[in-house]
Amino acid sequence: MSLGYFLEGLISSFEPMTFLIMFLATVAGIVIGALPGLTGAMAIILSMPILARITPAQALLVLAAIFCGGMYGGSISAILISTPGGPSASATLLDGYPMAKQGRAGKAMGIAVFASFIGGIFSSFGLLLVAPLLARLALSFQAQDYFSLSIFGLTIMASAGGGALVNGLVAGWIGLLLSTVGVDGNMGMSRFTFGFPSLMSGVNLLPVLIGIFAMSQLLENAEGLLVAHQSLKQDLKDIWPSWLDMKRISLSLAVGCVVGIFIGIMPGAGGAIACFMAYDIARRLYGSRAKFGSGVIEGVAAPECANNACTGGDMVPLLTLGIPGDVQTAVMLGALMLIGVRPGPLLFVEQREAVYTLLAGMFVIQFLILFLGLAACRVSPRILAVPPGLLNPIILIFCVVGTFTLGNSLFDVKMALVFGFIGYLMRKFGYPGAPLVLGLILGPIAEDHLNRALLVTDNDWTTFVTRPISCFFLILSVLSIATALYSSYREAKLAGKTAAEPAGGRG
Amino acid sequence: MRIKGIAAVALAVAFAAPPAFGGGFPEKPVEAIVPWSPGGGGDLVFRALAAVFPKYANGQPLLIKNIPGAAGVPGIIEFMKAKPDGYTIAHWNPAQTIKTHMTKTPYTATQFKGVANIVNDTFYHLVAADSPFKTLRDMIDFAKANPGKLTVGNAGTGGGSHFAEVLFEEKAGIAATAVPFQGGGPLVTGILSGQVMAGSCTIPEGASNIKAGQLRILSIYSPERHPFYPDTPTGLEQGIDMVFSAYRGIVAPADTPPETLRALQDIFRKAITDPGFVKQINDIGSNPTFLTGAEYDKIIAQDSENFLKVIKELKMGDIYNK
Repeated sequence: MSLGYFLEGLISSFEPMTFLIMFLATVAGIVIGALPGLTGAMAIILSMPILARITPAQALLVLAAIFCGGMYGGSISAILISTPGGPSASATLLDGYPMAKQGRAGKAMGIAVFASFIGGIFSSFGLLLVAPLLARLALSFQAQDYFSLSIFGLTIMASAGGGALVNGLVAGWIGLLLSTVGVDGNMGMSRFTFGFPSLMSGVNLLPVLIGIFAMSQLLENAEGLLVAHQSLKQDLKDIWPSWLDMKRISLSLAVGCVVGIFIGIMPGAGGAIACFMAYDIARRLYGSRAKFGSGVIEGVAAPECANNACTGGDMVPLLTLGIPGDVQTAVMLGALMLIGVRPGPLLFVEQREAVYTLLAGMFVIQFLILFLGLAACRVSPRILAVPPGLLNPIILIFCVVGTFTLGNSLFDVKMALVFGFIGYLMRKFGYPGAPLVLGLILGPIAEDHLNRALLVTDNDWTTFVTRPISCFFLILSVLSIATALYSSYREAKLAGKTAAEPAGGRG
Repeated sequence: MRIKGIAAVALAVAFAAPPAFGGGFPEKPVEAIVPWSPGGGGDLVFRALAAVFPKYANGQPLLIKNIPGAAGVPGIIEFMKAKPDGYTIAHWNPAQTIKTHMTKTPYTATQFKGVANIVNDTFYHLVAADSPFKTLRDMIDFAKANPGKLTVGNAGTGGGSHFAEVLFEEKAGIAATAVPFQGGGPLVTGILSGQVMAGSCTIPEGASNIKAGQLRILSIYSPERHPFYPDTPTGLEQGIDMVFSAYRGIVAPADTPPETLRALQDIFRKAITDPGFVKQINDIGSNPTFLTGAEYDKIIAQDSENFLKVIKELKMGDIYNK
């Protein structure tokens, strides 16, 4: 990587027109990221007519700005109204929303911005310095390894979202069972579709997400409407993390960066898995030093850092191999090809100028997010001052409209409502929602790679332990389960016999 | 009063404004149902089409409505509610035809009326640059010498590339293990990483990797040498009697009046051969190929028959798995 090209790129990303476009795209990304149901993919499609009229370098910057801005934007609604703007923000609400309820929404958002910034900068360095290396790492992973990686991901569901181990497992299994709905990948047979064509492609993630997290929260809020409303004073002064805060979250940030960029380069995974994985790893590393799930800044920093660290990683296979890793990068690929930029191994040769403008612009975008995010911290918590009787219906409208926009289908809206009710019941009986979502995300990935691994090895199950990478993740999975069991045993012992959840044994 | 005034003016403008391009069909926007996600192959082609559509359609826009999921079933169910007046059309491709035989759908592949074919993407066999297979013959010989050992990836069970492979194996007299991936991107990763020995791919999957020398084409299933790869021998040249490509076209409700169908077909004939459209489609690595509605109907009917045979043979899907 040549410094000269990078500096040239940096200069061209500061050209007035380019900078303005990039600024607007970041704003658009953050807004769309914050609105539930509206995805970055949709934003990229809508921006296509503009992309055709600007230079390839500017177009790359617009796409990156929407992508990174959207990744951060999801945290705003997650923290304020317990509604993840997208799957990648799901883990942020686990500690972010409790913080908002304690009147510390400004602080939570400040931490989210700061963590996003650190993750984004780290990821931009990764993309700039070691992209070809990362691409090679992605290619060294085969189906067996992906399968074991997703098994490792599943082991964290037991503890994701806090609460009792057994309740987490039950919720996770429900998620896994839901993930078997749809047409199977091997023989093309419909499973559990009950005659609904809309279920053939499986249970859609976003309606479930909106239902489980947002609508169930609205139902719970509705209970509160029966009692008199007390306006909670939000502290809007103490936003920027102090040195002490930074020291506290440094471990979260380190975990977030590593997990984020690593998961980012894996095709098909992306921010949704990275955020949960970082949250859980950080939770374990902090142990008793931070009570994750009760509204601690460490719990906001880890997932927010991880999902933004994903962005650079996500773009590695796209830029270096021409292969998109997820929906968003797939749409980016399509948009780029329409304007005559063909991502792939030759991109660095054919479009060197554009690529280096992007690599440099990635850094500028992170600073824009920091700036815009801090501005948002001061303004947006004020929406919590709106009386709940007014705010809740508005959120509900956003949820319904957002869900409908996903696929122009009322079926998705009905799904969200059903899962809102299920999520409400789960709350009432102490079952966390996060493991369910995690099961639904990881189930299809695990199944797909399991099928493929067995197909290419002629049904040889030993392949999962004889391949080093796969074996490594299986060992990690065993360790993960063992430590979860041990710590839950210890907690139970510490808390005495009274601590056990009454509903824990059932299900 | 003021609001009323504005409304009145707006109404007056709406009714009084003379059509800028003279009368005739279409007098209002045409809606195209694309039963695939925004940003997918079908969506990109339709968006490129929408960009030139107004030029040939009295200035009326082509509005795209994505109803993704389940190989087009929910989208087409929505399409079935449309009035047969030419103002609602839908995207149709082989995956949608295949789906009608994989599961019970409330429609058949042949019940709609073809309007035009838009693009035609040829299949080819790709291998990694360091693969021991230098020619198609090498691959076939390997499969014959080592039964059950050859693995060939495809972009999804029941998709076009899967069927192309089945057809190829029948013609070549070999049997390989079909390894489905979740789409063309993961498939190319699978070939690059050595997960599968070869891949049954659709142009332009892997195009940038071919150009960079990471992937090689063993053979390409176009009737003549493909304009993008004039140095690559076709399947026919290498003794495989097979021509196979994925068509992407437009259908209209069955009862659409013939003169409306003809008007639509003429609009799309001009749009598909528009230099701007041709360039955009070439940029995404695809090949604009205009065919009339009647010709497209014939292709769908033929495909439908071929696919049905394969599905029955392999006992795939919900209907023939017993």
